[in-house]
Amino acid sequence: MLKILEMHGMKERLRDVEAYLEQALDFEHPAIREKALNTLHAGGKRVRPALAIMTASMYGKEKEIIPLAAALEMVHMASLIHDDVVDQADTRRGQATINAETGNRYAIHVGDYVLMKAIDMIRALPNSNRLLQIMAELSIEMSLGEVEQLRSTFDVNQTVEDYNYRIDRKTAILMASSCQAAAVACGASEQDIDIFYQIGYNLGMEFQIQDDILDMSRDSQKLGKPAGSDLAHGIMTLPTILVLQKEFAGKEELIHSIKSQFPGGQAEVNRAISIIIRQGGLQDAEAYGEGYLAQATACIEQLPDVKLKKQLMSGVKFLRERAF
Amino acid sequence: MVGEFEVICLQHLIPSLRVKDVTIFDLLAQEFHYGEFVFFSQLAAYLGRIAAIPAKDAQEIGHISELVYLYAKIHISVKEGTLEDAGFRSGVQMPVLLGDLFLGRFYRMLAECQKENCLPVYLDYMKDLNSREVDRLEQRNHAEPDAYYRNLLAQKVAEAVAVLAGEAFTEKESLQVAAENYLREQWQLVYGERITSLAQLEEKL
Repeated sequence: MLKILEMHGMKERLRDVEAYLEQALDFEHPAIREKALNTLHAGGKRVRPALAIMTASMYGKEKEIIPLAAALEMVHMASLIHDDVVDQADTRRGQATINAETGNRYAIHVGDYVLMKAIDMIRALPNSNRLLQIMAELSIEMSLGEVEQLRSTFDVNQTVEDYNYRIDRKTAILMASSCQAAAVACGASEQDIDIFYQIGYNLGMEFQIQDDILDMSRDSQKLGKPAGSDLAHGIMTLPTILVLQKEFAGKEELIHSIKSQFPGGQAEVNRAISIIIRQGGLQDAEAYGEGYLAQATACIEQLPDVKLKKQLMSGVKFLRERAF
Repeated sequence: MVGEFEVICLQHLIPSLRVKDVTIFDLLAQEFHYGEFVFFSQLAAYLGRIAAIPAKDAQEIGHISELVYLYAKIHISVKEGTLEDAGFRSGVQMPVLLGDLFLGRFYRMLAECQKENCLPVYLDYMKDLNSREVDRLEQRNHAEPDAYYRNLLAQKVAEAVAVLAGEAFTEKESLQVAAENYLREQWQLVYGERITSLAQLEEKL
């Protein structure tokens, strides 16, 4: 990604976002400030701000979009803090989560506080009413996706449609909304707002599919969290769902392990992952994700600006190549 | 006896309590009082009459405030625990998500009713609540959260009504006193009744 960012001046803009975030998270409440800044300093790909900046570059408003890009990252940050409570995650990006350090309640209130501040920032932007509507829909859909994920843990009968419903809300909609909100803030036409939404949505779907593949294929050190943690928590991701649609020796063993919630611990999770990989789950998921990239590419083609098209195509290329 | 106004309030609020094919009562183990679904609507109507704002505006502020109250109550109820006791309908995972859902529905309602000018009032409430809860967890204060936040929200309802009454309205403090008195007199007396299911709420309609 860094290569792409250097090519298009994105790295510089993301540094502006980082600086803006440092200030925005400099809360008056010392304990919340410390936790929020620690979360920021743990790093992250900053994909959502990057999407907002890319969108704004079509209108020559890369600098003006920085506050919105920062607010979008704060919304994402708040959702990750809450996700860690729901997933009972001990580490993220290689450092202890807030819930692991100070408990669930503490983490919930820090996440909420960060979200309130993000909304406060959005309130001060041009077209804030429309932006707030986007944020409202985003919050509702993200929560519904997470509720559905929780309701369906260890359910081996899930379909690809169920998976799409969840990741649409869990990930894609925030990336779609990042592009959409940036287009709204830049005063884009309704047609362009819709195209940008679709670009973000399709990239978001592919991004989550890749994330789910990497959760199974990368080691813990590179992920910054235990490998296969989704499966261990009963979250059926695309590689698992696609493999469970096949007939093969060892399927019953896999189903039994999942349904019984891996009584053998991490060793049993690792065995299940080996079966999924052996049955081609990762390649099948990869191929499925290509469809979203193709749709994103088709949407990008509709844009008039040649320079921006190249930037967005680079973004697509990054998603294809990213390793963690 | 349920008045016509309460029926209208509940009719508006009940769809917000549904999550796809189930309701929050199916997803949460915690108990609710009947008052937690209608009190702030009644309060907004009462204060709205004092400030002479349109009844529809007061009703919408009531609905918005009920959603904020539910968000706060559900998030404050999140329990400590590990994955082993954090299953579905537990006090750990689902309240996190449903609190977030009510927050989203609050923003949507605010936007749909075009009452974004009241947003700072509610954001103040939520920032105050979250920083106080962090303080409480760090044992820097020992406030009774339920009563304290109920009173704080009642004050914010008064503020929101004052915002809607316009700049010419200068009696915000009087409205806040009225809100405090109304809360003290009405909460236990009229709304403290325990109710835990959507069926019971719908029965009241």
